[in-house]
Amino acid sequence: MTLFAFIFGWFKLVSHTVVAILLLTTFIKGQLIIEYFMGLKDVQLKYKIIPILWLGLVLIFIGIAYYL
Amino acid sequence: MNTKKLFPPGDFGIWIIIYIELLTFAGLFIGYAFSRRANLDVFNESQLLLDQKAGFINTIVLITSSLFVVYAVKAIKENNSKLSANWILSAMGVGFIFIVIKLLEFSDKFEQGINLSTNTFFMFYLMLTVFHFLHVVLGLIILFNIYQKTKIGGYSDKNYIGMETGASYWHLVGLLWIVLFQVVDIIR
Repeated sequence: MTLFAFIFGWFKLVSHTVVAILLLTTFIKGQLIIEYFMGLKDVQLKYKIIPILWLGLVLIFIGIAYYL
Repeated sequence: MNTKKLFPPGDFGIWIIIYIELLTFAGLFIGYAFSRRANLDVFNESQLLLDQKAGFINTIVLITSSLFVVYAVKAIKENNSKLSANWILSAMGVGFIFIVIKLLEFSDKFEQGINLSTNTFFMFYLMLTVFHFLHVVLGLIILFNIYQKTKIGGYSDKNYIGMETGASYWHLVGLLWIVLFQVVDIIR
């Protein structure tokens, strides 16, 4: 996912659709780090939801700012 | 049967810090995004001066380093201090690559006369990346302390909360970079 993001950026292929894909892949990568690296996969939802909400909201706001 | 753990890994105090850091960076990321909206041409032109190759390598570096820390925690849970220490050392070594690449980038920018006053893009770029860089430095100091303690048998399968605490902080650093790289280096 990071390689594709780099390729899109390097060859200046970033379009509206690509930005949406990049934001989605960033969410997926972040989610994987939160659940598997930070070890929040098997933790009560109230602790897991904070970083996941953070990730989702930040990316949504970035998307809003981009698409406005 | 509910098998969910009651608390996140490590000392709960680090999670308060992690949540506060997430809030702080959220403000910076969203501020960047909306400032970009208001200064589109400046942001797009300035972004061309960034080294995306370095950003890509740094992403791989930080994710790999985080992975090594995951392995270190796994090893200590299996009571293998030596393996755990080796993984922490590897994580530090890889993490140090980030420091070197970032310092070279900063040096290059400063040589070009770029600073906080150059324009709004570089104000955000430097604020975000320097702030994140300082977190990486602190993370490496924490990993070093964990390494020292692991080497002398300070952690075991019965006592690894300290290692999990430091690991959680290190993973935060990787998580923040993943967003930072996409937002600042790639999206235009």
